[in-house]
Amino acid sequence: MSAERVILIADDDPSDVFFLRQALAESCPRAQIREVRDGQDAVDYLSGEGHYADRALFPLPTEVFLDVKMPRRTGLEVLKWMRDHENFRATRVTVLSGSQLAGDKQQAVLLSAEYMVKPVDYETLRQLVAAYFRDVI
Amino acid sequence: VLVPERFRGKHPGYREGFFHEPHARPMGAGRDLFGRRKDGSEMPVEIGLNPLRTAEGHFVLASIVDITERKRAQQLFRTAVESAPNGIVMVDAKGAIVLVNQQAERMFGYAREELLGRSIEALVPGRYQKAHPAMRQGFFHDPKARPMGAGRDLHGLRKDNSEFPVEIGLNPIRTDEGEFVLASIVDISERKRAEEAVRQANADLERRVADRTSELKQSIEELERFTYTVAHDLRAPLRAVHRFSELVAARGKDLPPETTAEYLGYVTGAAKKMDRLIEDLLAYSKIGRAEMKLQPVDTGAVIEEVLASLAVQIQDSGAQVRPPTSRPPRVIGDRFLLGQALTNLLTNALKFVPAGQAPRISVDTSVAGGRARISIRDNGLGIEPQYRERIFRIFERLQSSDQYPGTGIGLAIVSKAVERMGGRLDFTSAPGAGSCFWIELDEAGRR
Repeated sequence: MSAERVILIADDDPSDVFFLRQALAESCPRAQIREVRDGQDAVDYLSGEGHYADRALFPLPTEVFLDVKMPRRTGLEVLKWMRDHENFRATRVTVLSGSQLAGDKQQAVLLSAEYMVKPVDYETLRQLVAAYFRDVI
Repeated sequence: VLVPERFRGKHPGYREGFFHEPHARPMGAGRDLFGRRKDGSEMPVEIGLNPLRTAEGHFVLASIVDITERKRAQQLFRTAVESAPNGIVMVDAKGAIVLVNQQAERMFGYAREELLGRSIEALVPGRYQKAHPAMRQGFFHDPKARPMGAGRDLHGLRKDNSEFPVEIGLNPIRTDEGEFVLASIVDISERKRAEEAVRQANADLERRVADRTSELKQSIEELERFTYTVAHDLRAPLRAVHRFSELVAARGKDLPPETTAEYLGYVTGAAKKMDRLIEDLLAYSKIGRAEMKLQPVDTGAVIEEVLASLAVQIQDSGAQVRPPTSRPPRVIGDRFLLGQALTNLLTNALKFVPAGQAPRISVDTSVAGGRARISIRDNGLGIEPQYRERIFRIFERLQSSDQYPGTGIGLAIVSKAVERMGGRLDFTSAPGAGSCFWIELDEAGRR
């Protein structure tokens, strides 16, 4: 199972993506990681629009990390879109946020997603991601 | 000899009349009668006359009562009633008015003679008239002094058919002539008006409090959202600073020097980003609070100034900027706010162009129906319709910041500035076809 693991990260902050990739790679070295830079891109990727139609290069993700605040479409909008589409109704989704907002968390949970506040330091991020992978087993 | 001199002339005639048609009756039929004492003084009297037929002929038996005391009591009663501050109406058991005072005349707008003998229902508004006689009879059934209408609002009916609120006290009066009710009436229009004014003032106050509270709630919500957004956006570069420093500190020894330099570059980049965020936040806050003076502003001069201040950016981007071709209007606005708004719109027009393309921008002005419009048209990326609302919010961005650096405050500033000047901000745009933003303000009167 873990060999076919494909993780899609949607986040417009390059350094956040850098560290999340790093943490994911440490906990699950075999996972394939893809990234997009905004919410609309995420939807395009998931629906195979344009150049994302090439599923060899852009395989369907088994799990998705969505930053809340992104250009064009927010992470919560992407999440909503996913739950409205049969293919992504059961996909494991983690909503990432820079700071905790009760309303955001509630929406994420209502749409069967996990919610993670981006920690300021890498060590905490590494532990959160490690816990994330333990949860799935 | 017992008749006062002024009546003596007529008296024998009356007497003859009585003998002519002799039967027992009170004397004087409605007139006031007086007797004369030996000393010549007079007294009011009541006289009953009875014919006596005897063998010796016809006699009249006159029974005489001195009514001085009664007259005095009546006079006292009348004076008391007349000088009472309330309207007073006395009715008999059938509801006919037998007495009114001056206050009552004034209150109801009738002359005394119009009221005497009339049914009391004439003073009762139409909607109560039907029920009134029954209530009146009820009172005579169990007559005791009490306020009328127990808890209901009472109204009087004036001669001109207008109504007025009243309070009525009822007193039963028992006399030889039967039972009466003395109604004492107070016009409470003034009190009602004052009560209404107080009620109105209270309602106004409550409404104002409610309005203010909801305004406050709204601005608290706005503030919460704002604080959240600020915290969120300020934290992003902070994370980068923390994590890259952490990385260098932990693994610096094993990293190639150019990687260390790259990471430290991210640290300083993030610090700069934070600085710019704070800078823009202050600018945004300044736009919201800056003292504003709405007065005629020459838009031509403001446009010139703004273009001059952007000269370096225009040159660096290789942009062509065409200033207004027609004579720009004067508007009612604030020079500083308008300048800020135009600066940000032009900065966006210069910035958001596809890579490798030179911006082409035209600034135009027009006037219609007392409103002046300044529009800035570009050949840039354009905006998809679904983002129409979002772009004016603080920290909202449609492009990733590594491609188009910025904090997402520019249009929020424009929006706030235009809002403060009472203007309108809008745009037309299509992806790939450029955008045209415009600001609409009141035109200032011609010089």
